[in-house]
Amino acid sequence: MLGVPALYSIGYGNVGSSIYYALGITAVYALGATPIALMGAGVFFVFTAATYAEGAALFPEAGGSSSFARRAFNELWSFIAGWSLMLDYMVTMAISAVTVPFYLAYFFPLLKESNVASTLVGMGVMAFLMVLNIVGVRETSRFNIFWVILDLVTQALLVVLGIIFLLNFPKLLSYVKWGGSEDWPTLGSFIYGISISMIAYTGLESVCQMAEEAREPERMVPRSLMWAVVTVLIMYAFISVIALSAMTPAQLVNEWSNDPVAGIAHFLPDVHLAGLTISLSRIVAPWVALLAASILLIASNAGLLGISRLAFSLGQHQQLPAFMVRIHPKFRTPYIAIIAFSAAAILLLTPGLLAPGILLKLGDLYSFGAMLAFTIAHASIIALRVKAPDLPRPFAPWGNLRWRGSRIPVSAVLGMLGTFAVWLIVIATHPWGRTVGFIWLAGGIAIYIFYRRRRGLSLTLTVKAPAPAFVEEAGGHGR
Amino acid sequence: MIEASRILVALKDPDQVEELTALACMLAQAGKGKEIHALHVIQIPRSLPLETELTAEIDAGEAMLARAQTVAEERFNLEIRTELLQAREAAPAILEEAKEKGVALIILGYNRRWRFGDRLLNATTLEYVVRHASCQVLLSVSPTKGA
Repeated sequence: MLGVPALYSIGYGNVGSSIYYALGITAVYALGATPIALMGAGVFFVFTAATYAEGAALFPEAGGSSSFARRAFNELWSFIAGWSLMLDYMVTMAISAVTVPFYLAYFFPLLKESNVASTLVGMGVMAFLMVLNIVGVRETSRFNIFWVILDLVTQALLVVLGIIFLLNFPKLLSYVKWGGSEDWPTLGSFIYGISISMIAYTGLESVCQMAEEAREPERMVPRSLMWAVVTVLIMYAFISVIALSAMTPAQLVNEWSNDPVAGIAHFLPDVHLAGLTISLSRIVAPWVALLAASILLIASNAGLLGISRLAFSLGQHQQLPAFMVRIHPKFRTPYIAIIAFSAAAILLLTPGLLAPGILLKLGDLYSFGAMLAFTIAHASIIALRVKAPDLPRPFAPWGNLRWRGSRIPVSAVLGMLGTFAVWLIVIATHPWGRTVGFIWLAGGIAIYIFYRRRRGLSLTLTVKAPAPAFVEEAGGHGR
Repeated sequence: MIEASRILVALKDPDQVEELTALACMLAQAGKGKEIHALHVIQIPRSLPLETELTAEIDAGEAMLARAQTVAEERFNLEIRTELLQAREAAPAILEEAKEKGVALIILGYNRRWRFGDRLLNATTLEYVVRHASCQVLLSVSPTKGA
């Protein structure tokens, strides 16, 4: 069973890994206002984390917002939430995988110069993880904790070095120019920046999925979630400010948008100590390159594990065809789901073969799926407060409104309005995210309706296949 | 000197069920009126929810535990309690079960006839249990093929 350290490491490992790409993606639109955009998105992240903490403590099971929606509304809404989350897991897998080569470019510069080379390596990473997960190589929670501690220490070291050697408030203030400039965004561009910066906060769902494995989930999950949130916000605040002290927004966008943390390491100065000249950059940059690549690999793998479990949960609730979650007779892993979603993640990377800028496209898509899933999660928690006010809630966020005798959490209301507004902005202004997002949603709903109708099942009622029968149908006997 | 008020036998390999159960029963009889728990842990891959019911693994685990009960009853006239658990990793699950039951001795098996991969994985489990157990641990190693 997992305790707070393991859950925290999973949470931070997932959310904290996004710093290696989210900073650059946000800077493309928010320029010198990137720290403000990240903190603006961070407010919604805090509200969403509070909602997830309440939901996961209430229903400690795989499924996250899909489970909340099942209890609050019906099976169709639960499917829409689950299907949107699947899109997010795929984007997290793809974006983490394709960021690996950008950091490895420290050793192999071609990976930064050629979008074809970096995309092919990203695809290779996905294929490698696919095989690893089909075979079912065991990864222990201690292994995760080790890497997360290493990551945390490295990020903290970068912050300390950055504060000592790079932090430059006059330079940061010099970017501010209302109305927009080369260094400061227009209002439209800033709002776009906030909407795409939501990619910084991937990973909430992964912690919730772990609720089923947690010791005392009602206490452990909210606590580890909150610690992960606080750490991530502090790291983002410092690292974004240090990045813009080290580089101008134009440098960050044009030269380091794919590997912004490597940019910070690159700009660390030489230190003269006792007659010796120590190049901090030469020491820190290769370390950051290796660590980022490892953390991103783990994050990509976590996405694949998350989507497999979610697919299995949807399959159990007859929301996905049983063949999708068939279990391999020898390796005992859901190999069809692993192959299908890895292939879909590889497919998401294909635009990277044609032109640079794949991270921005994936960021668009993430916001589309995540904002929809988060809105449904907030709405579910609000609805459950009205429908089932007496449910024992081991965790309830601070601050409530009274409405028709029910106590409605302010964080869920503000979170729902905020994430829904961002979703509308994504639809209005992110053409790639909108097109691919709606195709994904429409395709999923079509599969859901076809499958349920074919089995003579209601579109809205919960039908859970008895587990043994389900596994028989899905996997059969393996030995 | 082993003072085994409660013994936990962790069963993994069907070939070792008899040997490990017999060992636990002999120790229990030597100490008189002791309680034996037999445990089998099904390790669920991280790509599946923890509650997934893998029927083939459940059947195999139940068969091992039933065999252990038969051996204890027929050969030693002892009753043993059995438990089938699902976990991500066997070692922490064994230790938590031992702690929960207030076990004084854990008996584990190691089979030299296991394939290389199995040997490696089980060595990790054994090492973890030995390093982290707050009670005594007895490791029974099966003889090599012609021994």
